[in-house]
Amino acid sequence: MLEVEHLVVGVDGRRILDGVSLRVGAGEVLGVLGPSGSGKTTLLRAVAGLVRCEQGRVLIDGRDVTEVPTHRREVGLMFQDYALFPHLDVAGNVAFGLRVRGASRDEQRARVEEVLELVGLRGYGARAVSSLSGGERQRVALARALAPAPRVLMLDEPLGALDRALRERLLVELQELFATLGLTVVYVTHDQDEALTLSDALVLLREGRVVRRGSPAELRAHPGDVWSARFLGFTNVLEVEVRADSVLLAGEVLARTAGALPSGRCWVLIRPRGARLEDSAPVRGTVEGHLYAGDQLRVRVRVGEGATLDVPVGDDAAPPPGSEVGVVVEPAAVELLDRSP
Amino acid sequence: MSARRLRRALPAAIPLAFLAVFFAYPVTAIVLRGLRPGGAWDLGAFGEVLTDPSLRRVLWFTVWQAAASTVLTVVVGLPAAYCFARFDFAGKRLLWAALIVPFVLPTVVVGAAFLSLVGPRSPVGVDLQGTVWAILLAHVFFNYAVVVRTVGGLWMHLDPHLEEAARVLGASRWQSFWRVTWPLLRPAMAASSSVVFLFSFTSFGVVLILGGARYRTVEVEIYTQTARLLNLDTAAVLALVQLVAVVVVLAAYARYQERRALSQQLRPAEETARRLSGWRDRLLLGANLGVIALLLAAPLAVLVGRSLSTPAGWGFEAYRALGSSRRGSVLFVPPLEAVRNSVLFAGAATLIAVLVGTLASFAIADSGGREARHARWIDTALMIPLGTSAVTVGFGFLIALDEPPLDLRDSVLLIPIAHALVAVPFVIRLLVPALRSIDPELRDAAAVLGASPARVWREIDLPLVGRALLAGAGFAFAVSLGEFGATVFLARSEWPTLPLAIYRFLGQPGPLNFAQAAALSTILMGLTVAAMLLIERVRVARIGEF
Repeated sequence: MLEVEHLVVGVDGRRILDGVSLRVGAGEVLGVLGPSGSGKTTLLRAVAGLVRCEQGRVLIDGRDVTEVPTHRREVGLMFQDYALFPHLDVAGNVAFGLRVRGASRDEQRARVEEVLELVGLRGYGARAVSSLSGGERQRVALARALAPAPRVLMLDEPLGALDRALRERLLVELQELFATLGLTVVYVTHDQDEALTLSDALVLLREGRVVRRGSPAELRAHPGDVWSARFLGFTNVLEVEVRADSVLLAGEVLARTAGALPSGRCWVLIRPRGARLEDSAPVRGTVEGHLYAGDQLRVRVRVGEGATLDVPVGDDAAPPPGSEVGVVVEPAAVELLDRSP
Repeated sequence: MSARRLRRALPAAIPLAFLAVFFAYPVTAIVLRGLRPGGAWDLGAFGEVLTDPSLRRVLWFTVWQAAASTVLTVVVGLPAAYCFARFDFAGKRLLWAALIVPFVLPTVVVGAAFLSLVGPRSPVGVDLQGTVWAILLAHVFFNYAVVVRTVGGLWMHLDPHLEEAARVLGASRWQSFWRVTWPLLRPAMAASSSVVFLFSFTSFGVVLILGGARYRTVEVEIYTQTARLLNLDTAAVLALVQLVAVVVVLAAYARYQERRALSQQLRPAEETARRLSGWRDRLLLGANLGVIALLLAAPLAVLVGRSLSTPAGWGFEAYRALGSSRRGSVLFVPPLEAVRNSVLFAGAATLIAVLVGTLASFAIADSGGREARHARWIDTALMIPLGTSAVTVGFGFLIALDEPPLDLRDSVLLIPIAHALVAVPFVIRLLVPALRSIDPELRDAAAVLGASPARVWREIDLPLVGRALLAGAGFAFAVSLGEFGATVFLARSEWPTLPLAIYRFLGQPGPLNFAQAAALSTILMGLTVAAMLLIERVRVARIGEF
């Protein structure tokens, strides 16, 4: 179990982490999602003891390790670019953590074989790390982090450097591995799909602060605020006007909601699956272009000055760019958002 | 002071103490000798030296020949740097390695080699002894590798796409060189030309042997004033003038590097070289190989030939004579003993240089961010002994370390310490880049995996710089083997070193003496080359500074 309490980390007078608190239960996978520069990597380095904390505490299995030096924290960290030791072969890399903890040669050999098998690199022990492909390096780094059986395994963008097909395959493998081993994991990424797939719980990090937390399902259902919704990959985040039970865009009625919303200007999320084109609709716009979301075709419609809406259409029913269309939205597809914190 | 800062300060303290006792203190003694001859400040000696017409000639000659040597070396070396950077040809790696040999050869060997080739007994009938050309040629011989390997070493990692992009944008061949490649090569150009300038400026052995009575550098003059004329005060002023000049050049260079620090995307050398195509390429490569053969190989070949020539044809007579102390010989001991002395001194000097150099390198490489400036100045400070010239070091030892509190006059250790002082900068130049090139994340990864700081040092740092360390040791060994300028002040007649023995033999008339000098030079060359071969074998593939 890992607990982080109000962690503050500064570098050269700038706060990289500004009071981050989080908790990962035993056997749980916590996804830490945030854009680059949000402090994700620093958070992992702080938990590992590689950067000094100005304030706050780090507890592992209930023990305060804030003042414990890195090499006695018994955490695992998989670096973004793997940081494999170039002067050691695959087995030497994987055995490193066992060796410096004084494990016997036999123990080392057995454990190295075991973890290499686990990551699908059986028989790779004597290979030089420079001869490995990107995917193989990733697996070696993972095996190295797993070998000493850390209390908490932290992964920093583990799939970031790999191409898409490989990434998807490894994502499934990681998911299986976490479940089989019952590991306590902190998984850092900027990719919302990765985070939503792997995590039991998620935190959204922005400029060194946690802006949103919850399960993947909760976050998908209620992204919360404008910034979080956009970062989670939702399009159709719009500023609209609400009057009684009507949502107005560019002065026309876009949707009628079931219950009454507070009147005034506010931000909403329109789920694409609840939007459709309709010739007689009062909200009029111009088709800007076509795009695919998975295997579903959508048209991007510009309404008025600032707003665009992505609306799903049938493959053979897409109006060409430039044509004028009307848009309506089902009430259930409208989600009210907070202003960004 | 926190424990962390203390841990950082310690590795710096030992090399700085070494520098203080064995460099700053002797140099201070020189300064005091020059500026306070009678116990009171007196700048009169300064004025006398600077207005003496013959000394002014020496100063002027020292400056212009150093400038001329630098320009000449760059002009000859730049095309070769291009060939090594951009062409693939048979034997390239071997030749690249062999280029380093002239640079590490002892000055007396170079002097002897040029004396054999273009001296009074020249096989090609050209006698340049006593002319400035012999000196300039020898300096180019010496420093060719500095320019070719420093500039070529950077050039081979420059992305050829940059020049191609310039060509596509409409630049001519010349424009794309001048506007794209040249600015990118400038750091290496500045580094190598300042090294060449300093080496030529403080040239001693070569000028002593080839310059005759007419041409003397400040360095030679210091030696002459001390050893021959016993004019210690004049020598001290000259040493002071030279020291100031060296510090000015080094400081200018350090400032330049600071302003010019430019990070660029470097490519692996294998990706930037191409096969020869067309007569232009062939001609350029052929011409450069010709220069290498004539300038670098011919003098050494003639030298070896000289050692094997006897009045009755070819033979090992000169070598056989080395085992015994001839009557009327210039040495008190059999010349072969000089070989043993040199190897022993070099071993001790290597030990000291590696110890001091390693600690200094860790101190320099360990400091990042705000301390980086600081580190650059330590780096420069430790370079000063290299530029200051061995003669100043030897002279300083002579006048400072022969009386309490430090009386080492009779200590055999004095020689290896002087040699180590000259060798430390080489160790640092090799080790610091190797240490800096270690990805700090490797240390972090090791710590996360449970390695204590000491363990990280042993398991990560040491193995990764091990080969650079060996290379540094080889360099230190070679430098010590060939050291002449300091040794000439410090070596006692019962402890001659190889270069000293060679110099003595060269000063004697008669073909056998010359053949013996050539034979000892050949042995010295063999030892040096052996040390260098070791370096090349263990050398880490990387972007080098020499």
